[in-house]
Amino acid sequence: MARRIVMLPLVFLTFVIGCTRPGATSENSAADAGQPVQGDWAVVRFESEPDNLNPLITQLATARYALTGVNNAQIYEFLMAYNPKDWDLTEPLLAVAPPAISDDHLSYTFTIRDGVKWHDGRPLTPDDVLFTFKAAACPLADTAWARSFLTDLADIQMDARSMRFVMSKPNVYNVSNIANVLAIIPKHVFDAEGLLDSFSYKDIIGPKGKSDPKIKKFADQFNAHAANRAPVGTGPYKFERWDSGRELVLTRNEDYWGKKPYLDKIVYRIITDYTAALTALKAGDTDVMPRLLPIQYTEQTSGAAFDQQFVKMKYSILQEAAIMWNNERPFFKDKRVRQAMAMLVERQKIIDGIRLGLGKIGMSFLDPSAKDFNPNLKALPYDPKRAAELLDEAGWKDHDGDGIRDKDGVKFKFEFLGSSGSQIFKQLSPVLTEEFRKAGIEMTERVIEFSVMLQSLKDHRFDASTLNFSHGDLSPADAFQVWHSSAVAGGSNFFNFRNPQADRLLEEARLEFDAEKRKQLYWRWQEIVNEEQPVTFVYYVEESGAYSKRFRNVQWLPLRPGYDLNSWWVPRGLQKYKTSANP
Amino acid sequence: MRIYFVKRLLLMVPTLLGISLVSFLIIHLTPGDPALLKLGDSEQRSGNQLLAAQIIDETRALYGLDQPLYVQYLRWLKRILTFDFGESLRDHRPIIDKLKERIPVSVKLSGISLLFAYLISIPLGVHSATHPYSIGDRVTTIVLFGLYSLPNFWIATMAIVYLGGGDFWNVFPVYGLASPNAGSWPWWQRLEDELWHLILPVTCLTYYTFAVLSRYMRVGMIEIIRQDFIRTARAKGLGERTIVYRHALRNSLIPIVTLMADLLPALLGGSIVVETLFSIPGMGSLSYEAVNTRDYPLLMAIFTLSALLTLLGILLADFLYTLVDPRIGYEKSATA
Repeated sequence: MARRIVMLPLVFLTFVIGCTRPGATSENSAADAGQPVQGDWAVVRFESEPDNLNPLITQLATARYALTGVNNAQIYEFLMAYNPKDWDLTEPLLAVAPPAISDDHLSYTFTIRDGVKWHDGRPLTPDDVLFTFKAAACPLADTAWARSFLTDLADIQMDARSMRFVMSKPNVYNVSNIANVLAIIPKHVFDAEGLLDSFSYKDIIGPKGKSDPKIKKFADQFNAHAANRAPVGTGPYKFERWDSGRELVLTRNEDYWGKKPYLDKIVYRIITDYTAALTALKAGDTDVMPRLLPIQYTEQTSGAAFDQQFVKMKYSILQEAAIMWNNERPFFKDKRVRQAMAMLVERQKIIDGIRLGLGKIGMSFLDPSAKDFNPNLKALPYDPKRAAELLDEAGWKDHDGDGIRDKDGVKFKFEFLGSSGSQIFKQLSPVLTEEFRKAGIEMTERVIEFSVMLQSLKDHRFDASTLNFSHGDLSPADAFQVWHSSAVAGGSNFFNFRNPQADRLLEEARLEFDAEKRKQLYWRWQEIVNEEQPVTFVYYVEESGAYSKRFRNVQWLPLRPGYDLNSWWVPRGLQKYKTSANP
Repeated sequence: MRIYFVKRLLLMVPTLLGISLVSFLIIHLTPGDPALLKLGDSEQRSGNQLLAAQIIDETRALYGLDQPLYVQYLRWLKRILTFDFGESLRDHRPIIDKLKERIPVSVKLSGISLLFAYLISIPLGVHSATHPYSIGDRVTTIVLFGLYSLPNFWIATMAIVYLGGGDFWNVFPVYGLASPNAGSWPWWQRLEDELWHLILPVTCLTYYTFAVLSRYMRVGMIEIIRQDFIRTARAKGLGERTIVYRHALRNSLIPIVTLMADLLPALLGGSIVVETLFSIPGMGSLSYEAVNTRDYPLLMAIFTLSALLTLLGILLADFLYTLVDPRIGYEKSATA
């Protein structure tokens, strides 16, 4: 009710303007001071509403942030989590330990934790885990995303609390596909009738899975289940309520089996507009704005008044902005041309001008903080002169004197495809057009809607395009389906990159269980990609966010979405929300 | 006349059928695939996409998209005859539930805004017409056209920045239609809270319609006021008020009534811009989402509903003509 006509007196305004503290920085000096205490809430801004809250069905990252947080445990939990040292997947969660792996790397045995309770009080059993995998694998369930990780899972065998997952192929990333994809969901909630009980995992992925009336009945119920909007999990936070279009509220789970978090509640408040969201933050309606626009970070979140209440910071989100050259197009067939194109992209200027400094020069598909990142890589420099030489060498010269290079009667004219939702495309495109024009290359832009663009990319119907590559963690697990030549048909190798040597390295890396040797393979692979330039990495995306100063031990992890609310706490004297009362 | 309107109502059936068929074709022939989008948004890691083709096929089959288009359309038609809109591809909720959630929001927002638009523009237009080229007329014209040329996303953003309690005045809430904890308040406080939330969005939806509506009113009125029967009325010695409000106004409402045909669909249509800026979960944002995610059943429901309302709106306008101008009748010239 504080929000009625409250006019800030003019005096206060001038005071604020008059005494801007010089050199105010975004440090959080008192980060770990004092003993952590329970209490208070965090009101976090969400820019869009989750589609649903079933971790197997949702197609949106926002839903996953609410469901499993930053490191695999919030309402629901995974079998394993990332360790805070090198962000490998070695922390046990609903499994008591990392799996025992057979010598042929085909079977993985997990022991399911005892003493874990669902939020409704029922105990977690290995049956729940088996059920989760059966539900995800069911071809009649709307679980496309989850299922795409299970393609190599052939069978699951159970013996008391131990579960053996049998894979059809050895792969370094099998553990991740088993323990880091599916949040474990309760069987007694989603399959109260036990419709799937009489089927084994093998039955579900076999022909029965598509036709059996019982499975069909289960899938229909599962897809539209009430718990898809009111989840019952095992994690440190319980679902409290979801006001459609307004907010999503979670409460601390006092019966949590693990280390209990400090905040009483997490409120995700849906504010679709960035300006309104920043206004709401400043007005005290929200406490955390995980993402700021670059202009908001550089200009609208400075000054003493802001610094007194908030901390703002930059963080990496494991994403690279890249320009893809369709390697099959006549002009991009030659690697010298692709190198030349890269040398015409002035990355630092783009970072400074468009991202307002929020970004680092892009070099590789891997993040510089990843273990397998090759530190010896050198991004091709901005060098229009050398670029012109390379183009000449490749035979692209201006033969007819019209200002545009040509070769064998083909003019160097291409189309740059972008999506209408992409902010960056609109700004990037004119910069590139100008730079390429000076080098005798004509680029036109074409803007289409995202889902149409996705289709065009899949069908390789484009000359050049831009996309951000996102990763779920620091491992190169996803490299294969983007860069291997087999990924041209059906995978994400939209740009038609076919290089036998690079293919072989990726194939070997997936089967190399020695981390050190695997690293060497990835290093070599990154060198080839950098040399071939099938894709030009423009920058590593850095995001910026702001949060209220009252939070302590504010940890941001190198995983999406960054903020780890399970570790945040507020000293008693600074607590803003009491659980009993509303804000 | 009753026969005429019954005929019109019956004619709506084939018209709707035609519209639904065309909408269906447009929706399904647009590139993009809901099953493909199900593999996740751009912010999450992806699974084994090499084998994803099979998963996409399975998902398409789940949505019934593996059938030939005419089968899909007939299925849809069969469902719609029992007023079953089907379920959304996004969350498998019945579409009717989603509409029930969103429609009241949009009706409230657009309803209030339209009410104000008419309440303010009609008197303004009348005044301008009865005092043409006076200072008052000129000033209103300039102000209204000034407002008309200000884009509402800009006005909304300015209002959010300056009136939302960021660095400036804390006058209005800037998101949603209720305070977060309003649920526990008594009804009068909730009502006050909601009205308070409505002020900015309604203003942004309304102000630029003044120019159009009042212009229509002014032009219609000026034309009428010069006609013989008004001169006769003056000659009879009727007072100016009676002349303007009883004789002239009713006759000059025809163009305004024509605009009313858009009223019904506008009530439901919602505004993507205002809804997005003020985080209001209405029909505008629902439609936009449905397009982006290729939620075919939801799109069909929205298309059909707005087609129905447009047809009803036109019918309503035709009916209103007979009220404002008794000379208009539909008995004999029905086919003309």
